[in-house]
Amino acid sequence: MKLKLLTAFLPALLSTFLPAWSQETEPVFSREFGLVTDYELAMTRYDRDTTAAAVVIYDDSRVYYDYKPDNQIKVELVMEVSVKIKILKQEAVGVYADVSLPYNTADSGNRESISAISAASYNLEDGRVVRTEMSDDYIFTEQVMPGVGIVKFSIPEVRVGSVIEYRYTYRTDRLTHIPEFDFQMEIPEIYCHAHLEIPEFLQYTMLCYGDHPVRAEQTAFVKNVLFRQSQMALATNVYDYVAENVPALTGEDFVWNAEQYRTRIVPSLVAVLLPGQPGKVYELTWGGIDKVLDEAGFKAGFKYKNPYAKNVDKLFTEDEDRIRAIHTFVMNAVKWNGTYSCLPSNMSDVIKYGMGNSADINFLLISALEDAGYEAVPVLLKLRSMGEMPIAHPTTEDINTFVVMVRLPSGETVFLDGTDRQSTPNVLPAKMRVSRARIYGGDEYTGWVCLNDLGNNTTTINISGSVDSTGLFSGQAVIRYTDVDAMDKRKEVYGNGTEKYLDELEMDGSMEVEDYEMEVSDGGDCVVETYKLKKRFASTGDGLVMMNACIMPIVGKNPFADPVRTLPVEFDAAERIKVQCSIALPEGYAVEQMPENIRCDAYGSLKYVYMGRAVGNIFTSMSELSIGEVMYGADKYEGLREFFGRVAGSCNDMVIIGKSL
Amino acid sequence: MGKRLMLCLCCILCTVAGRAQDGNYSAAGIPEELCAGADAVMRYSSMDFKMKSVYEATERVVTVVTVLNGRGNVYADFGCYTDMCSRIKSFKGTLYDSSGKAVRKYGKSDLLVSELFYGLASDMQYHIIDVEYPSYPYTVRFEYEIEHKQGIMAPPGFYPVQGYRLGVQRAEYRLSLPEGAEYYVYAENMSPDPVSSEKRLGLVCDTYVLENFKPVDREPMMPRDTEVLPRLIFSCRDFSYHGIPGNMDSWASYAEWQWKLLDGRDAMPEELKKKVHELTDSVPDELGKVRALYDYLGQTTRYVLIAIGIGGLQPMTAQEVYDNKFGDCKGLTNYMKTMLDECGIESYYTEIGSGKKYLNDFASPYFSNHAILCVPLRNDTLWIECTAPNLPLGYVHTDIADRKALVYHDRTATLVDIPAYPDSVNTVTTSAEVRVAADGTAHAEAARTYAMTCYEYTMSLEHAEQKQLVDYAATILNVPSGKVESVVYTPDKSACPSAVLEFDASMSFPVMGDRMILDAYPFGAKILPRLSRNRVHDIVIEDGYRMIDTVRFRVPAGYRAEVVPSANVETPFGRCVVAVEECGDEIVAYRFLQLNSGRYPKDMYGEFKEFVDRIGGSFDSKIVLRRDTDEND
Repeated sequence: MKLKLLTAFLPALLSTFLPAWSQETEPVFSREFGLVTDYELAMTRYDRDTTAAAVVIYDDSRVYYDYKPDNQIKVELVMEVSVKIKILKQEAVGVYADVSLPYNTADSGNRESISAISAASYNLEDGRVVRTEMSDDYIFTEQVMPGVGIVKFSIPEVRVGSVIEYRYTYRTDRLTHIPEFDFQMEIPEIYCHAHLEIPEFLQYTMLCYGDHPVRAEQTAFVKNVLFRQSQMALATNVYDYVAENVPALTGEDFVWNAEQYRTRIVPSLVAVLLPGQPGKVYELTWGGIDKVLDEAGFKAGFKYKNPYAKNVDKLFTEDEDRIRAIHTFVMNAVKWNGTYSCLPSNMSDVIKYGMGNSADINFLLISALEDAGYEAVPVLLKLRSMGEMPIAHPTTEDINTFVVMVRLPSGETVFLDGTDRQSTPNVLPAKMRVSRARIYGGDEYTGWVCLNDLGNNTTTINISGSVDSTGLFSGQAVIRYTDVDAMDKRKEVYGNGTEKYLDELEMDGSMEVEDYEMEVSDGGDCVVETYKLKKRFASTGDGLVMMNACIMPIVGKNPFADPVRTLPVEFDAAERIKVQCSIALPEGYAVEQMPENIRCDAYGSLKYVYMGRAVGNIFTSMSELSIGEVMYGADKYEGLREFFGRVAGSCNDMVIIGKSL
Repeated sequence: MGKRLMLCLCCILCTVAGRAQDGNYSAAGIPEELCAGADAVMRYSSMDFKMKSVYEATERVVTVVTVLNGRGNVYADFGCYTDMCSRIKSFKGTLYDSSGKAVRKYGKSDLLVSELFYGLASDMQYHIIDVEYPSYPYTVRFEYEIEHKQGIMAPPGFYPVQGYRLGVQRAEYRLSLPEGAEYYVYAENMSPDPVSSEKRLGLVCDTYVLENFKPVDREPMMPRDTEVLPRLIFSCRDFSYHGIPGNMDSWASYAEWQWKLLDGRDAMPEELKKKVHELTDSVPDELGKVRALYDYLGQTTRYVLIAIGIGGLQPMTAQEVYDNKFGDCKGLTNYMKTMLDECGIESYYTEIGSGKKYLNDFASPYFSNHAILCVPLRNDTLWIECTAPNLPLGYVHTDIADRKALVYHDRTATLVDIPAYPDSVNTVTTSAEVRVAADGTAHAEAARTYAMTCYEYTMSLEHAEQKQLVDYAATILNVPSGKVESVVYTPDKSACPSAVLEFDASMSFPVMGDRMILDAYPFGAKILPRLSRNRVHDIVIEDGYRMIDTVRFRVPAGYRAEVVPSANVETPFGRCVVAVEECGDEIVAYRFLQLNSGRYPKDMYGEFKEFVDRIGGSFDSKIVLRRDTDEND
């Protein structure tokens, strides 16, 4: 009996004297605000990702509509957020212990507020859990710019090993805009939960993005509310979304917008059906989006009269030249103010001050083109840096700006944009070269265009010269750029000034440059550089010279060194680069060894060829790289890496010349 | 008579043509020599700073800038800041086209006001206008007045040339003080003497002028801004800041004022006292005690900046830092000093200009922007960076080395010199063994040791994960085909710190018939000093260092070195030695590179370029192996 009693009480006795966390060898996390488990405090790494500097233990959001019944329903959208994070490494301390929350300070209808902030840190000190609450003295608000504020706070006593927790309440009178829920951050997240209670008169569809699985549940309940002094039964739809063990989202090169791959839930408004009022439906079709844009002021852009009617040059007869002249004229008359928009601003101010947003300039362009007798249509797009435009469930937030499509009598189309003064017809700025853009007023299913395959983007480098016995190559380079490559080159030279450009050219190419000239074709779609160059290659004192077989290698190093990649690879543009060399050898010298010819390709759209030949005392080589697609999925990464590895190897091959025997 | 009058009129008109202060804003009026090499020209600027007393002042500013091209837009933008002691009383602006015709007006309502601050909080507001115009040149004129109350440490400085590639036609600065008030001026690259002085309504007004300043272009490795661009820094003998009066006669008198801000900030909570004794009582030596508290500081605190009112200059109390475990440089320095006081170790709160700011003999708060702690031990003086306790104790980092520091002691302050480390101790040493197979593939084991300032640049690797380490090691592979396989970073955080980066890498070298071409120095990114084609300024090498490589190649049987590189160049700028030796089946490639810090006349630029070419050439050095054909017969 006594023994039984002893063994019965033994665990309790032991737990009194042993550290609490020794009992919890399995991970135990608490999702209750204010409660921290021993495991959370004791953990020194996150097993699923041992490189993580911190891990979100939970991230919980609860959204509901707060009714303030009166003669009219006064409603606010409320979101209560709670977050708990475990700090594992020093570099995470400042990042996660100092919190910034932006919000709109605009007038009624779009106002947001952040309040009821509380935060605390938890630390283990001498076996005890010490909780340090943040004083309100360390909560600050700043006005960032008109209409935008930011709330900032710093949590005290945060160090490696701390668990931090904070919560706040977000309120807005913008009832039809529920913020999206990010379930993925730059650190792993163990548990993410979004709970939404949405009254029946607000109809939403929930869009899910990202690769990580999210569990979804939907229920409903009925609540009685007071409306105009009468009781009204209001059904409320309840949505719950849970994601667990979400890995960190890490940035990678060759990605325009990593955010679009973030696992998240985006509530998208479908309709507003307030009792006693006509319903308002927000179409989830592209045709409906056109109507929404019109109501927001897009259509007003078509009414602007072309203020430059008398200036448009009517001397050109070929469509290409007339369109180019109109394009250039409008861009010179109005400068882009740096703002992308699809809605025009005050056009009289735009013309008066000569500055406008992207919509202002492109509507003026449309007006001028129509006056010249062309059919010009807006093509709506989402900038590459903002992610890809969806085919289904569009919202106006999926449209950042538009470019202009001109339909020629021949049936061909030309695309123009007025924001970038270096752009030319069919040569759009990099951000606008999207795979999918929407013709305004176009058919629901076929009204799409691709903007990343326009033009013929090439760089052709011709180098001719001679190498002496010391390894010094002297010669001339003639380099021709077309379309996007030409635009990029003009920007590079004009942006820094010719002197700085040449400084960089010499440093990066390890060469000396003289007599540099750049010619730009009338339309700007072709640029030709010519210059004399001297470049030294390795040589020995006794008659061997080792030089790069291409003089200017197309690829220096394989840009894809990482063995693994999760995101797709995006190039700026499809293009073709070719280098042709003709090198005269010193008298009495011949090619002793030269690289083997090589031809390789991948996925039918990546091609590389190198050929070299020695005839007499002349060595010639040709290398050409062709990138046919702009995007390659992550599943093609291994092939891409291998392809560029072979290209880099070939581009760095040597040709050895020596004294003939 | 009529003709004379006409002639006079024409003369007058010709005299005023092109003078922006007279209201002529046509771009055509700018002298050619001010436009050559310029992105913008300051046609006219004037600052009128009137101090009615130490508590009250007005600042009236007029600027007229003509922007010549897109790079000059930055000079057209308007920006100023106010705080709790100042406000913009009036503001207006006008934009003119190239002919000088006004095309746009700006008012106070056009100002974008932002409080966004990089730290946690401040009392500053930024007032901004982004100016744009569709064609060049264009001119913009701004005129504004700021009222100051209670927050005047010193009159604003005179910066007539705000940056590079900016010509200046005429810039004026008028400083008006009550009669009897004394002020001091520190000049860089211009005369410290006023062009005129007049008395009016009880104030003495001194006027400073800069005219016809030709634009200066920025180029790599040029002297500091302070040696190139003209400016005047002012301080007043008597000042009052947030109600606390002071004297800026000298650093010693300024220190008396600063002591008022430091007093009483060191009250220590009992728990902290207990902790200090717990950490240090059993440590026998002073250095050990300092280290114990420095480690404690690093493990428990972080940097958070709050700059509101006097809090921008006065440290947080030790109690506040203890309660929150955060503070800025002032707060953390005061906190560390308080802890050292408790265990009986003397230390001094120290002000310094970090980064591009440098204190000098002229007493002015303008030159300092940071606080550190001076701990004079028996055998050494420690300069402790309390905001970055990951720095090795006793190591003086590059942002505070080689400059003066103001050490507060005994109710006064003294300027002392913090030296820089000699170039010879800032080293990167690589030792590697590369096993090469007959097909050209190779496997390397390398160890790269970074010492002193070279260690400092790799410090962030201490907590890097394997992927970051591999990415970093990949950047120092000088072989296009190279792949890094595993990396270990081991720091030695002594007062003369170093770190070893050990890694394995695979690579391949081209095999061409019976030849194989090795990169003689496969490790070390080819990062060379940037050069400009047409040198204008003297050459300044700020960070000298040494790079030493020893690479042992184990080559396949039957291969012999046919061609090996060699070089031995010694110049005032440094040295470059390349030597390769064959020892049996091993080829040892040795390289010694040294860059000497210093200032060199621009006439030596050609010689410097040649030296840089030689260094660059060393990175491209090849060893040509040839298969012994006798063995293959």
